[in-house]
Amino acid sequence: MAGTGGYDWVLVVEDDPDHRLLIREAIVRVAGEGVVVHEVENGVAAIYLLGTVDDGDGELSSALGLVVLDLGLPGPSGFDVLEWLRDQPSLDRVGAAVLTASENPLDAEHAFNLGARGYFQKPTEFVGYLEVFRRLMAPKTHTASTSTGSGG
Amino acid sequence: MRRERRNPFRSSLVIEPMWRRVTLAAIAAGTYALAFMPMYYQGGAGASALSIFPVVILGWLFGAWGGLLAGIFSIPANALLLSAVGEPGWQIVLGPGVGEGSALVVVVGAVVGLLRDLGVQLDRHLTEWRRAEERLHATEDRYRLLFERSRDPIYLTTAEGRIYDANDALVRMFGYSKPELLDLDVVNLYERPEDRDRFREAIGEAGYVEDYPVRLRTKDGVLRDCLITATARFGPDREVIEYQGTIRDVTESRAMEELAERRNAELEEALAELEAFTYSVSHDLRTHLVTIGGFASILWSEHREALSPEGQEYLRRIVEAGRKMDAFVQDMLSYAKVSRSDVSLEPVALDEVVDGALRSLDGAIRDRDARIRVDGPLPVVLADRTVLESVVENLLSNAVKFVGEDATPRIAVGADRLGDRVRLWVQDNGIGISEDDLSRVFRAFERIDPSRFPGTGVGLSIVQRGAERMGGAVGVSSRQGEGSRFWVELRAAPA
Repeated sequence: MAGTGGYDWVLVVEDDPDHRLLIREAIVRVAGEGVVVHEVENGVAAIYLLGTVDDGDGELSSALGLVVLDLGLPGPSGFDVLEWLRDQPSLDRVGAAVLTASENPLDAEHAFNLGARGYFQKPTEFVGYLEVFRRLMAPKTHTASTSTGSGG
Repeated sequence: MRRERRNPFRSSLVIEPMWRRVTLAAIAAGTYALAFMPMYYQGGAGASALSIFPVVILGWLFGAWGGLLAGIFSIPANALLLSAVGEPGWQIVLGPGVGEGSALVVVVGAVVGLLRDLGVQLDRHLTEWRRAEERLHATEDRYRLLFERSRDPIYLTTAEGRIYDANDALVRMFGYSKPELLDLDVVNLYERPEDRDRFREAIGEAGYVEDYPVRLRTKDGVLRDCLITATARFGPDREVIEYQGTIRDVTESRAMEELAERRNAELEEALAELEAFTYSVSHDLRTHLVTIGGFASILWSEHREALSPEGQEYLRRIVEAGRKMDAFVQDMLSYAKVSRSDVSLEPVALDEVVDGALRSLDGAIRDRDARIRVDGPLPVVLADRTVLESVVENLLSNAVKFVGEDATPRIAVGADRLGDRVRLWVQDNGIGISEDDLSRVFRAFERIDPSRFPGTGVGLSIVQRGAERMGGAVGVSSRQGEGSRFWVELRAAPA
């Protein structure tokens, strides 16, 4: 599946419904209809859903997926989800990237240390989202927005 | 003090004024003359014995030498006087019976004079002794006054710690009466008995303590923070004989210090809260801005055609305002981050930081076709890399931005070593800053010429706050129309 980085699905973990919609719109425009976009509001739901990958009969039927995380979430934070994901050997083919409202170099470093493939500040223009997902969906590269200067 | 010569003749001068001596001598001569007349008419020989009176008087007046000379001279004088009245003078005064008397007159005159001299000497010694005593008393009184009137409490204790003298200030300080205090073991004045032992140990090492902090207890049980400055007096075997010292009550000043410290801490806390607030507000603002800007830009890029030209114009304004607001919020976030983040200083190469800043400003530099010269190699400074990056980036973007529209920005970057500090400077050929505005440029949200240059006015505040956080300083020298030279001073990394 060219243009999707081989991902079968994307899980958007984002508590702001407007941002969820913006992210979904961007993913659909970048990857087309070939990729399934799941949305959850918090870390607990994300971890629950990711736990079904092993069963093979849950919503996420393949281990080839991308988790897009907000950092500030009700309950477990984006970092907690990243950490949980890192500790699941069966999910080592699930990628993760952080998309946050206000960037912070220390947060970026922490995220990369926890295995994130990207760390981005949410753009205020839609073209910015398209750019983010074009980069994320490109095969297996660690990326970050140029403005942070802290790319991995 | 003038010292008198030890001459017996002179010594009597000290005691008797001249006029009194002359008067007494005249009286003596008169007495002698008056006595001599009747003696002459009675047969003459007794006149020689009469001279004992004036000789004794002269001896008393002029001392040993005076008495001796007066006695000796009285012999020829008597002889002359006797000859003058027709008597065989010398035969009488040196003759049998009278000769021994004449010699006796000489001896008596000398002895009386000697006694006089001894008296004078004794008197002088007594006077000196008395004066010395008076002086001693005066000195003692002065020191006593010094001790008693001192506003600093002063005490003396025995080696065992019994107070044997204390001044009024000490009495006032502790609230004990003086007799009570003089009976007291000094350990009762300490908050804890072991403090007394610590104090003795401390003073035992050097023989003195200066501003030794200790907490003392008054009669009412009130604890006072005190500083003791004291010395120990040692006996021949280095054993302590006594202690003496002054006590300074610093309870109030310490309370003031603590108050000031507490206020300071509160202020810092308030400032930190304010900065945290700035950060969270900026973060939340941005959250909504993401939504507004995101959807407005989708509208613009994908649904523009559905709108009338008027609608399109409104939409364009929304998108534009969103961009400006984002720049503003980003600056606020940067400022809050520079203010808030923990600063850890480490050696950072200015070359790398300047290169990095130029890379991230690439777009703006291309837009303005700016010419930038870096006078490298730049030194290594002690800084927080992230904060320094913000500082340098803002300095450079300012230099590129504040240049007249027709001019090509020409910017020079360099660093001077000033002792153990490094001054990084950025020289531009921009619009410059008038003297009146120089003091305003580093203030947050101050914009000197908002109509000509876009921006939020936060950039230089970031530069200043960042430099401050790293223990550095900022400054600018500029003249309107002649460009500006902004500088940041930081500690040089140790070689």
